[in-house]
Amino acid sequence: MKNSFSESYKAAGVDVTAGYEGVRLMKKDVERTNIPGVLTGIGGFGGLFQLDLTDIKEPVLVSGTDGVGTKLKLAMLTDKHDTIGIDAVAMCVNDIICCGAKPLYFLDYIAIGKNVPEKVAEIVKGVADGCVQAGCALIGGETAEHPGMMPEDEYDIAGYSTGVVDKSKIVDNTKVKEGDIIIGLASTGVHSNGFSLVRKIFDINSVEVLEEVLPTGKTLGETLLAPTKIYVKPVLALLDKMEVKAISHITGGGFIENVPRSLPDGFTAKITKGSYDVPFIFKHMQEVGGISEHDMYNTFNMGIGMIVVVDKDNANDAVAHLKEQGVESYCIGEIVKGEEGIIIE
Amino acid sequence: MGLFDFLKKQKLSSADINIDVTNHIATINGNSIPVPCQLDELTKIFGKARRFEGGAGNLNYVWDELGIYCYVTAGLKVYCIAIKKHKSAQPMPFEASGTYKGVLTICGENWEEVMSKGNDLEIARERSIDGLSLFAEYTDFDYGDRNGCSNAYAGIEIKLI
Repeated sequence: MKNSFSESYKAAGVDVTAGYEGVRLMKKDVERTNIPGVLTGIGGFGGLFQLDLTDIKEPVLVSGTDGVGTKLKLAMLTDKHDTIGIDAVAMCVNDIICCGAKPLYFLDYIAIGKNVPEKVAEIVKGVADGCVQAGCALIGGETAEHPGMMPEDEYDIAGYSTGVVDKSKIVDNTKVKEGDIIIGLASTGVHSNGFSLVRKIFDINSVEVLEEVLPTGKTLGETLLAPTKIYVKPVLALLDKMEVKAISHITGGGFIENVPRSLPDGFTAKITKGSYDVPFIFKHMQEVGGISEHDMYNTFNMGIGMIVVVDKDNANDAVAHLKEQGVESYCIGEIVKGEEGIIIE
Repeated sequence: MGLFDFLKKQKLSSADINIDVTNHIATINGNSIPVPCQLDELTKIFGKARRFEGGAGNLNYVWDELGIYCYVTAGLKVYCIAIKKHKSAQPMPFEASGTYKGVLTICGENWEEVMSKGNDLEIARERSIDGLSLFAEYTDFDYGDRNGCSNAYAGIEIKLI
């Protein structure tokens, strides 16, 4: 790209050429999320999306909003901003897929101390990557500069997504019965919850701490910043293939709080320890932080980012089908009668 | 001129100023000045300017009420004239505080028409024409709002070298 002729930016010491490049990249990133339904070139104030209701008799819109918590602190310390947007998308779309809704579009909000276009472009690239993974469009976004309120280098990101599901196909828990199998879909790591505890465990206040190489061969920073897995496409494919009776996104509150959220009263998830290998990072955090097992399961996903409940007869097919979709999954337990909500033994 | 004649002289308003710029001459209210020119040439027409010396080494002279400012070399040679049409959300200290209300043409053509044929940089348009380098930022571009912007311009920089 050729240099800009702007004298005012030069005089202000602003690298406007990099700024343009940032904006250009941002626009390209937004464009690659376009899917049928996105109306461009009109409006300007709001993002427009035309619903295609073919084969949907009673459309129900499902929306979710979320942020990425203090995982951001790690992105700032490592100056790596191109994946935190994936987390923002994942936290929203993984919520709305739990009732079987297909995410249609996403909007992000970035609050930042100083608007540096190149940095914002990196963040938005991640958002766009997340949208592509989720198959939804990025139809809008806002970057709010907060000088004097936030330090220049700091930012926060949140997002919002809306999806659609036919009312008759909403995944609720009405068909869950004793003996159904709980399938755990592997997470990519800590995802985007529990980072206040993570930072406390490792006393993360400088980048040096994050440069420690773990026995896995990856640094602590790489491991912790691994973007949250987006389960939309494999779960939608599974919903097309078989009846899925319940879905839980293992988000804030970890395994213990989220697994029972999708179960009807009177039923309990009985999870079998050893049914899958808990990834090293969780064992490492437990050991370094001296955290009880209960608190670990009550804070983190422990290697399982989402669970689906299927009929016992479909369990093996479900695992095989998810594998075809690129997701490792395990039969981690079964539904039993009881009021405990979850038993891990 | 008598002692108090300058008091009777009406203050120059930007609405009264018509400017046409070509690669070798700027015609300002019928006064022809060479391009590039010395600061004195503009001072004769616009009056005394506010001087601004920036930290980045830039030296500007600003006619706040006229919406006009310029960039000069250490030898006070004007190499860029900036004309502000709309107030900036975050004005730079060397920008004019007011806006230009007069008629501006580039090589005889309406400046906005000229810029509409320029290279779209997403946040501005730039164009080289007849030895002039022109740069016009969109008025409502905001890095924060990714819904796009209209094609109205906040103003124009006319680089004379």
